[in-house]
Amino acid sequence: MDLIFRGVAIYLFLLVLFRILGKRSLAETTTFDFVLLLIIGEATQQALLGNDFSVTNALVLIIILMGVAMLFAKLKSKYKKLDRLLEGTPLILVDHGKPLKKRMTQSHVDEDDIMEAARIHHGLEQLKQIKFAVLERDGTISIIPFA
Amino acid sequence: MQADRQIEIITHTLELDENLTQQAKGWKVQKICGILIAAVIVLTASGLFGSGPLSWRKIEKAGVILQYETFGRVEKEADIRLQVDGGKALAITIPMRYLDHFKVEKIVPDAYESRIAKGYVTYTFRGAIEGKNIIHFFLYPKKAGNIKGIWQVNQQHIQLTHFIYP
Repeated sequence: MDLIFRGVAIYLFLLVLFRILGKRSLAETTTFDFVLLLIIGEATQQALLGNDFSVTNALVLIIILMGVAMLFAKLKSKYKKLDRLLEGTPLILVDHGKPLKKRMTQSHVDEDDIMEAARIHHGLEQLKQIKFAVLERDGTISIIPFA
Repeated sequence: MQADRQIEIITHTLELDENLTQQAKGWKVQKICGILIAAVIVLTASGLFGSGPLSWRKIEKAGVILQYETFGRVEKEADIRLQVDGGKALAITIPMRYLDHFKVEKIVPDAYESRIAKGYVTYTFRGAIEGKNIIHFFLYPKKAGNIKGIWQVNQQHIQLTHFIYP
Protein backbone atom coordinates (compact mmCIF):
# COMPACT_ATOMS: atom_id res chain seq x y z
CA MET A 1 0.00 0.00 0.00
CA ASP A 2 2.84 2.32 0.95
CA LEU A 3 4.48 1.69 -2.43
CA ILE A 4 1.29 2.64 -4.29
CA PHE A 5 1.03 5.85 -2.27
CA ARG A 6 4.66 6.73 -2.96
CA GLY A 7 4.39 5.98 -6.68
CA VAL A 8 1.15 7.89 -7.23
CA ALA A 9 2.25 10.85 -5.07
CA ILE A 10 5.58 11.27 -6.87
CA TYR A 11 3.92 10.83 -10.28
CA LEU A 12 1.31 13.52 -9.54
CA PHE A 13 3.88 15.86 -7.99
CA LEU A 14 6.17 15.67 -11.03
CA LEU A 15 3.19 16.00 -13.38
CA VAL A 16 2.08 19.23 -11.68
CA LEU A 17 5.63 20.58 -11.30
CA PHE A 18 6.56 20.15 -14.96
CA ARG A 19 3.19 21.58 -16.01
CA ILE A 20 3.90 24.64 -13.84
CA LEU A 21 7.39 25.08 -15.27
CA GLY A 22 5.86 25.65 -18.67
CA LYS A 23 5.95 24.00 -22.06
CA ARG A 24 9.32 25.30 -23.06
CA SER A 25 11.16 23.90 -20.02
CA LEU A 26 11.56 20.40 -21.45
CA ALA A 27 11.47 21.20 -25.15
CA GLU A 28 14.71 23.14 -25.03
CA THR A 29 16.81 20.86 -22.85
CA THR A 30 20.35 22.14 -22.50
CA THR A 31 23.28 20.07 -21.22
CA PHE A 32 22.79 21.51 -17.75
CA ASP A 33 19.03 20.80 -17.86
CA PHE A 34 19.92 17.20 -18.68
CA VAL A 35 22.21 17.03 -15.64
CA LEU A 36 19.44 18.62 -13.54
CA LEU A 37 16.99 15.97 -14.73
CA LEU A 38 19.43 13.25 -13.70
CA ILE A 39 19.71 14.81 -10.24
CA ILE A 40 15.91 15.00 -9.94
CA GLY A 41 15.76 11.31 -10.93
CA GLU A 42 18.33 10.43 -8.31
CA ALA A 43 16.50 12.42 -5.61
CA THR A 44 13.21 10.81 -6.57
CA GLN A 45 14.60 7.28 -6.52
CA GLN A 46 15.11 7.19 -2.76
CA ALA A 47 11.62 8.55 -2.08
CA LEU A 48 10.10 5.97 -4.42
CA LEU A 49 11.97 2.89 -3.26
CA GLY A 50 12.59 3.73 0.40
CA ASN A 51 14.97 1.23 1.95
CA ASP A 52 13.71 -1.68 -0.10
CA PHE A 53 16.05 -2.20 -3.04
CA SER A 54 14.67 -5.61 -4.00
CA VAL A 55 13.85 -6.53 -7.59
CA THR A 56 10.21 -7.18 -6.58
CA ASN A 57 9.88 -3.65 -5.20
CA ALA A 58 11.35 -2.14 -8.37
CA LEU A 59 9.11 -4.24 -10.64
CA VAL A 60 5.97 -3.42 -8.66
CA LEU A 61 6.87 0.27 -8.67
CA ILE A 62 7.40 0.29 -12.45
CA ILE A 63 4.00 -1.41 -12.90
CA ILE A 64 2.36 1.22 -10.63
CA LEU A 65 3.94 4.12 -12.55
CA MET A 66 2.98 2.61 -15.91
CA GLY A 67 -0.52 1.94 -14.58
CA VAL A 68 -0.97 5.57 -13.51
CA ALA A 69 0.37 6.74 -16.90
CA MET A 70 -2.08 4.43 -18.71
CA LEU A 71 -4.95 5.63 -16.53
CA PHE A 72 -4.16 9.26 -17.31
CA ALA A 73 -3.86 8.47 -21.03
CA LYS A 74 -7.34 6.89 -20.95
CA LEU A 75 -8.82 9.75 -18.96
CA LYS A 76 -7.24 12.34 -21.26
CA SER A 77 -8.67 10.67 -24.36
CA LYS A 78 -12.09 10.47 -22.70
CA TYR A 79 -12.21 13.94 -21.15
CA LYS A 80 -11.08 16.74 -23.45
CA LYS A 81 -11.01 19.25 -20.57
CA LEU A 82 -8.56 17.14 -18.58
CA ASP A 83 -6.42 16.72 -21.69
CA ARG A 84 -6.28 20.51 -22.15
CA LEU A 85 -5.55 21.03 -18.47
CA LEU A 86 -2.66 18.57 -18.38
CA GLU A 87 -1.19 19.08 -21.82
CA GLY A 88 -2.16 22.69 -22.49
CA THR A 89 -3.25 24.05 -25.86
CA PRO A 90 -1.21 25.33 -28.84
CA LEU A 91 -0.57 29.06 -29.11
CA ILE A 92 0.15 31.16 -32.19
CA LEU A 93 3.22 33.33 -31.66
CA VAL A 94 3.77 34.85 -35.12
CA ASP A 95 0.93 35.97 -37.38
CA HIS A 96 1.88 36.82 -40.98
CA GLY A 97 5.43 37.82 -40.09
CA LYS A 98 4.34 39.86 -37.08
CA PRO A 99 5.54 38.63 -33.67
CA LEU A 100 2.81 38.59 -31.03
CA LYS A 101 4.92 40.04 -28.23
CA LYS A 102 2.55 39.61 -25.30
CA ARG A 103 1.96 35.96 -26.11
CA MET A 104 5.70 35.40 -26.50
CA THR A 105 6.50 37.10 -23.18
CA GLN A 106 3.92 35.06 -21.30
CA SER A 107 5.20 31.83 -22.91
CA HIS A 108 8.88 32.69 -22.28
CA VAL A 109 9.67 32.48 -25.98
CA ASP A 110 11.68 35.13 -27.82
CA GLU A 111 12.28 35.89 -31.49
CA ASP A 112 15.58 34.02 -31.42
CA ASP A 113 13.76 30.79 -30.47
CA ILE A 114 11.32 31.27 -33.35
CA MET A 115 14.06 32.07 -35.88
CA GLU A 116 16.03 29.04 -34.69
CA ALA A 117 13.04 26.78 -35.42
CA ALA A 118 12.50 28.56 -38.76
CA ARG A 119 16.13 28.02 -39.80
CA ILE A 120 16.31 24.39 -38.65
CA HIS A 121 13.06 23.18 -40.20
CA HIS A 122 12.60 25.43 -43.24
CA GLY A 123 15.89 27.22 -43.86
CA LEU A 124 14.16 30.60 -43.49
CA GLU A 125 16.23 33.73 -43.06
CA GLN A 126 13.79 36.38 -41.85
CA LEU A 127 10.77 36.67 -39.60
CA LYS A 128 8.68 38.16 -42.40
CA GLN A 129 8.98 34.83 -44.28
CA ILE A 130 6.96 33.15 -41.52
CA LYS A 131 3.21 32.97 -41.97
CA PHE A 132 2.50 31.35 -38.63
CA ALA A 133 4.71 30.17 -35.76
CA VAL A 134 2.90 27.98 -33.25
CA LEU A 135 4.02 26.96 -29.78
CA GLU A 136 2.81 23.37 -29.72
CA ARG A 137 1.54 21.43 -26.69
CA ASP A 138 4.86 19.63 -26.25
CA GLY A 139 6.78 22.93 -26.17
CA THR A 140 8.22 22.75 -29.67
CA ILE A 141 7.76 25.62 -32.14
CA SER A 142 6.28 24.71 -35.51
CA ILE A 143 6.73 27.04 -38.45
CA ILE A 144 4.36 27.56 -41.37
CA PRO A 145 6.17 29.60 -44.06
CA PHE A 146 4.49 31.68 -46.72
CA ALA A 147 3.86 29.52 -49.76
CA MET B 1 -10.17 38.48 -17.41
CA GLN B 2 -7.41 41.11 -17.32
CA ALA B 3 -4.64 38.87 -18.70
CA ASP B 4 -7.01 37.56 -21.36
CA ARG B 5 -7.62 41.13 -22.64
CA GLN B 6 -3.91 41.84 -22.90
CA ILE B 7 -3.24 38.95 -25.27
CA GLU B 8 -3.34 39.79 -28.96
CA ILE B 9 -6.52 38.46 -30.53
CA ILE B 10 -6.05 37.29 -34.10
CA THR B 11 -8.10 35.53 -36.71
CA HIS B 12 -6.43 32.69 -38.55
CA THR B 13 -7.13 29.84 -40.90
CA LEU B 14 -5.26 27.18 -38.92
CA GLU B 15 -7.17 24.19 -37.62
CA LEU B 16 -5.92 24.33 -34.06
CA ASP B 17 -7.57 24.38 -30.69
CA GLU B 18 -6.19 27.67 -29.38
CA ASN B 19 -7.96 28.30 -26.10
CA LEU B 20 -6.86 31.77 -24.99
CA THR B 21 -8.94 31.82 -21.83
CA GLN B 22 -7.26 28.66 -20.64
CA GLN B 23 -3.83 29.95 -21.69
CA ALA B 24 -4.39 33.07 -19.57
CA LYS B 25 -5.54 30.98 -16.62
CA GLY B 26 -2.49 28.76 -17.02
CA TRP B 27 -0.09 31.71 -16.97
CA LYS B 28 -1.80 33.06 -13.86
CA VAL B 29 -1.48 29.68 -12.12
CA GLN B 30 2.19 29.52 -13.18
CA LYS B 31 2.84 32.89 -11.52
CA ILE B 32 1.08 31.86 -8.31
CA CYS B 33 2.98 28.58 -8.25
CA GLY B 34 6.25 30.47 -8.79
CA ILE B 35 5.50 32.44 -5.62
CA LEU B 36 4.59 29.21 -3.82
CA ILE B 37 7.87 27.59 -4.88
CA ALA B 38 9.78 30.62 -3.53
CA ALA B 39 7.78 30.38 -0.29
CA VAL B 40 8.59 26.67 0.07
CA ILE B 41 12.31 27.43 -0.39
CA VAL B 42 12.18 30.15 2.30
CA LEU B 43 10.22 27.90 4.69
CA THR B 44 12.66 25.05 4.08
CA ALA B 45 15.58 27.34 4.88
CA SER B 46 13.86 28.43 8.08
CA GLY B 47 13.38 24.82 9.15
CA LEU B 48 9.70 24.07 8.61
CA PHE B 49 10.69 20.73 7.11
CA GLY B 50 13.41 20.06 9.69
CA SER B 51 17.02 21.13 10.31
CA GLY B 52 16.51 24.85 10.85
CA PRO B 53 15.79 27.52 13.45
CA LEU B 54 12.01 26.96 13.29
CA SER B 55 12.47 23.28 13.94
CA TRP B 56 14.81 23.27 16.93
CA ARG B 57 13.18 23.47 20.34
CA LYS B 58 14.96 23.91 23.66
CA ILE B 59 13.27 23.18 26.99
CA GLU B 60 14.96 24.08 30.27
CA LYS B 61 13.70 22.79 33.60
CA ALA B 62 15.57 22.72 36.93
CA GLY B 63 19.00 21.63 35.75
CA VAL B 64 17.73 19.75 32.69
CA ILE B 65 18.07 21.09 29.17
CA LEU B 66 16.39 19.10 26.42
CA GLN B 67 16.90 19.97 22.75
CA TYR B 68 15.07 18.31 19.91
CA GLU B 69 13.64 18.90 16.47
CA THR B 70 9.90 19.54 16.20
CA PHE B 71 9.78 18.78 12.48
CA GLY B 72 11.23 15.53 11.24
CA ARG B 73 10.95 13.17 8.34
CA VAL B 74 10.30 9.45 8.14
CA GLU B 75 13.50 7.41 8.33
CA LYS B 76 15.63 10.52 8.88
CA GLU B 77 17.69 10.47 12.05
CA ALA B 78 16.41 12.67 14.88
CA ASP B 79 18.83 13.66 17.64
CA ILE B 80 17.31 14.37 21.05
CA ARG B 81 19.95 15.96 23.25
CA LEU B 82 19.73 16.04 27.01
CA GLN B 83 22.00 18.08 29.22
CA VAL B 84 21.69 17.33 32.91
CA ASP B 85 23.56 18.72 35.90
CA GLY B 86 25.89 16.06 37.28
CA GLY B 87 26.29 14.71 40.79
CA LYS B 88 23.54 12.14 40.89
CA ALA B 89 22.37 9.10 39.01
CA LEU B 90 20.15 9.85 36.10
CA ALA B 91 16.89 8.13 35.19
CA ILE B 92 14.98 8.90 32.02
CA THR B 93 11.49 7.46 31.66
CA ILE B 94 9.85 7.42 28.24
CA PRO B 95 6.33 6.17 27.40
CA MET B 96 6.29 3.05 25.23
CA ARG B 97 3.53 4.60 23.10
CA TYR B 98 5.92 7.42 22.24
CA LEU B 99 8.87 5.12 21.53
CA ASP B 100 6.66 2.93 19.37
CA HIS B 101 6.79 5.65 16.69
CA PHE B 102 10.58 5.45 16.53
CA LYS B 103 13.35 2.99 15.91
CA VAL B 104 15.92 3.62 18.65
CA GLU B 105 19.18 3.58 16.75
CA LYS B 106 21.59 4.51 19.49
CA ILE B 107 21.82 6.08 22.94
CA VAL B 108 25.13 7.82 23.67
CA PRO B 109 26.48 7.03 26.23
CA ASP B 110 24.91 3.59 26.66
CA ALA B 111 22.45 3.33 29.53
CA TYR B 112 23.58 1.25 32.51
CA GLU B 113 20.18 -0.33 32.74
CA SER B 114 16.88 -0.29 30.90
CA ARG B 115 13.62 -1.42 32.45
CA ILE B 116 10.08 -1.79 31.16
CA ALA B 117 7.20 -1.30 33.55
CA LYS B 118 3.58 -0.20 33.18
CA GLY B 119 3.99 1.01 29.63
CA TYR B 120 7.15 2.99 30.27
CA VAL B 121 10.82 2.38 29.53
CA THR B 122 13.29 3.69 32.06
CA TYR B 123 16.92 4.20 31.10
CA THR B 124 19.30 4.59 34.02
CA PHE B 125 22.73 6.17 33.76
CA ARG B 126 24.98 5.33 36.69
CA GLY B 127 27.75 7.35 38.26
CA ALA B 128 27.02 10.68 36.67
CA ILE B 129 30.03 12.88 37.25
CA GLU B 130 30.20 16.49 38.36
CA GLY B 131 29.52 19.20 35.79
CA LYS B 132 27.26 18.79 32.80
CA ASN B 133 26.28 15.38 31.47
CA ILE B 134 25.17 15.15 27.89
CA ILE B 135 23.12 12.27 26.54
CA HIS B 136 22.04 11.82 22.92
CA PHE B 137 19.09 9.72 21.78
CA PHE B 138 19.37 8.95 18.07
CA LEU B 139 15.93 7.95 16.84
CA TYR B 140 14.47 7.19 13.41
CA PRO B 141 10.77 8.08 12.99
CA LYS B 142 8.89 5.13 11.52
CA LYS B 143 5.64 6.80 10.47
CA ALA B 144 4.44 10.23 9.39
CA GLY B 145 2.16 12.35 11.58
CA ASN B 146 1.98 13.97 14.99
CA ILE B 147 3.87 12.40 17.87
CA LYS B 148 3.53 13.52 21.47
CA GLY B 149 5.06 12.18 24.63
CA ILE B 150 6.12 13.23 28.10
CA TRP B 151 9.63 12.30 29.16
CA GLN B 152 10.49 12.14 32.80
CA VAL B 153 14.04 13.20 33.52
CA ASN B 154 14.93 12.99 37.23
CA GLN B 155 11.39 13.89 38.37
CA GLN B 156 11.08 16.64 35.75
CA HIS B 157 8.28 16.15 33.21
CA ILE B 158 9.06 17.42 29.74
CA GLN B 159 6.60 17.28 26.89
CA LEU B 160 7.94 16.60 23.41
CA THR B 161 5.88 17.16 20.29
CA HIS B 162 7.00 16.22 16.81
CA PHE B 163 5.52 16.49 13.38
CA ILE B 164 6.94 13.90 11.04
CA TYR B 165 6.70 14.49 7.31
CA PRO B 166 6.36 11.50 4.97
